[in-house]
Amino acid sequence: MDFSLSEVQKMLKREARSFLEKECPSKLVREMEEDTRGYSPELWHRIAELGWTAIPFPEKYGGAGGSFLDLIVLLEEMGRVCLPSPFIPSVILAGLTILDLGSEDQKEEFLPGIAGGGIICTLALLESSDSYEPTAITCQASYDGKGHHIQGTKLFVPDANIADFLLVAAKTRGSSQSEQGITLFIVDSKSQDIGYTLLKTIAGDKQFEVDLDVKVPQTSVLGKVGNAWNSLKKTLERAAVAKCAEMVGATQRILEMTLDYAKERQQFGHPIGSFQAIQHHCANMAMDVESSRLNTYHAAWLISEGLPSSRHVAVAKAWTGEAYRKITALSHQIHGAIGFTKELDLELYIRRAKAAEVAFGDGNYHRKIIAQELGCTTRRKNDRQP
Amino acid sequence: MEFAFTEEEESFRQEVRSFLDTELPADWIMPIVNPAEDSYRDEVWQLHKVMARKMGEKGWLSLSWPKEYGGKEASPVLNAIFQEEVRYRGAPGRDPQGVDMVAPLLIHFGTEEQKRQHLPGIARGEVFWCEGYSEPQVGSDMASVQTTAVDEGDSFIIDGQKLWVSGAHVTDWCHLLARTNPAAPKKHMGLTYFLVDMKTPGITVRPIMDMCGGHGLCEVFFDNVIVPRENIVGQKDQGWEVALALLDFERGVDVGGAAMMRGFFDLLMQYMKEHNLTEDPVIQQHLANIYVEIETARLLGYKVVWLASQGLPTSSQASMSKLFCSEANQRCANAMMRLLGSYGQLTGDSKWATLQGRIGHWYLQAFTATLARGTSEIQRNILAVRGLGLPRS
Repeated sequence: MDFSLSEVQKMLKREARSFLEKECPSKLVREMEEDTRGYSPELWHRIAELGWTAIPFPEKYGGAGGSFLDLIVLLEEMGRVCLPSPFIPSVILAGLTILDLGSEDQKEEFLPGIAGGGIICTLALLESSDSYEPTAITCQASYDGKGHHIQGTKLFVPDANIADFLLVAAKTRGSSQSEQGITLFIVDSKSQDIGYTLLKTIAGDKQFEVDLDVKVPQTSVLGKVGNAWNSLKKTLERAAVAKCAEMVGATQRILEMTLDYAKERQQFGHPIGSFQAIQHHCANMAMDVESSRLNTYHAAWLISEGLPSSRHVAVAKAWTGEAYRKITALSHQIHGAIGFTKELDLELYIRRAKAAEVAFGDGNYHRKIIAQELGCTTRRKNDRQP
Repeated sequence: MEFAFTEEEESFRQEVRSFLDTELPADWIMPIVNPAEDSYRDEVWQLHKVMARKMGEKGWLSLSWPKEYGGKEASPVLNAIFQEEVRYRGAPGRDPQGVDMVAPLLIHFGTEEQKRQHLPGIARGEVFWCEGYSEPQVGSDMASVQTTAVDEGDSFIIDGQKLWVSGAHVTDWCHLLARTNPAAPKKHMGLTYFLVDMKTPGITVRPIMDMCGGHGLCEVFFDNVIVPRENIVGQKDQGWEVALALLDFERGVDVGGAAMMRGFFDLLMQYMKEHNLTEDPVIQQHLANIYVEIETARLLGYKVVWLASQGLPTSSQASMSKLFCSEANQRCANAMMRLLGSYGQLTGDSKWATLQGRIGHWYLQAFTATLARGTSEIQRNILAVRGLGLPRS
């Protein structure tokens, strides 16, 4: 049992903290909300130079051979400053999926670029049903003997505007129900036959509707036809924990901001932080931050060690997503009206908290997974006795 | 980072499990929900004493003590594993007063004679302790002790009343705070820490009936009780420092609460599966929610264990763990009662009772969780001031 970070992880954390505090002030975060690209290519380039995008990939593909846990340490720091970047989409959603599922040729073609930051990818998975179940994928891929014709509409695709390639999840025509028929395609994002519409969100991040009516060659099938679901499940687990890590960093920062404010702000001749009503809100926030961190690192450690992780990933995401919302609400209550304004950074976090809570499954979704993991049975319609 | 246990730890866990399989009556579900109350119930007390001796023979009641006092100098992790397995099964025998509080107190503050006199009895599971902190006018404001101890040279004479003394009617010794200097400028000064033999003349114990049908909580009257001078822990008038240290031990390493919840949860899951009650999506949400709470409580508890094993300060983290666990305890007991519906209210006597009515018993016991060992409000104060650096109110 050891709850401490390794020396390498501590170094990475320190490096990320000082770099991001300097290079990603809230001014930049606000500018990027207005920017059509939504990220700073220059900052992205420097992040890649620091080797962060290379962390989880093997050295033979230009990676650094680091662990998933290393990545989590880094993501916590990124979340702390609300870094606008395609890091999770490119490295975790796309990169690690290609590493899992791709042929040797595909890995050699894409991974060095992703690891080096020169290629940006994203994953087009969700559709109008907003469901992470395999049955929710209705986007069709039909094979005509030469290639695949992909038709359908994807929603909430992160950073699709800046991605060079999209990983598109589609149901192969003629395949059986649910998990069996799902195929991932690596699609050139610049194709004329793909339409992009920005979805304006409360967080000002860049999510897109992606309309596909595109023909792709057989070589764009990632791995084999019809076998993507198991890998996608793992991808979603990693992404859920990555999102948790961002939330942990964000909530830690919110707690610090709130404590500073409670010590400075005077009412009735005393700092408001000396009032028990405020102290108890702060204690509740600290408890939620710490429990989110422990659940997140526990899940990340299981993934890093290659141990069964589904249950604890679900625990982490169910807990952390809801804790983030509670923490922002308490912080806002302590800050009072100023928390509602753009004069303070709190609002940046509040607007992102809701997106983070639902990304890669909300609490209800993950509790459903936990129930399945615990052996709860699901009654299917056609199982019902007369 | 490492969330797994070592091979030695895993094999110790197995050893404790098979011990409990052998020693616990098979047809008795969770005899102990709340050690501070259930241990002293008439139907449990005999088994508690028998199992304490057997645990003592194994050396499990003195796991982390120095070898010179009969301990094994084992890591706090082993002690936590033992605590976890015992509470998971609701097993009697591990007296938290002696094992988790008085023993570390004496090891840190006791004289050599006190250690020789008291530690072996705790280690062997033969001597049981109770705690005299609360009084009719002393609750969260723990320093406002009104019980007095007058210095007579070789001895002190104690007069006053203690309240909520768990197990006072059956335990052998009491550790308590009394006021030795009423003229001290501040109320936390002038207190002295005593070890008192409960057989001393002048002590009267009155058990108080509680809403779970137990009488473990007692009120204790001290009328001209003569306590030898060598029974002082630390220095005269310096008892507050000892009491604060003891409170840290008391709140300290506790993975037991989370384990107890998990014990109930596993029993409930088994019951619900056997009765095909797990198909409803709403019920599934509730079950998963309980599971998340338990896992979170366990991680917070083990974080404290790890800090202790590294010799790092645990104080505010222990408050956080206690706070979370006690409140989760109430939320989970309530959630399980709701899952049982009308059946939850039945006591074990009814043929219709579920799990011998133990979840209903737990539900009632859980009301004490946020009061005992410092209320949730006090824990939040500690966390805010000591842990987060907010100014004192």
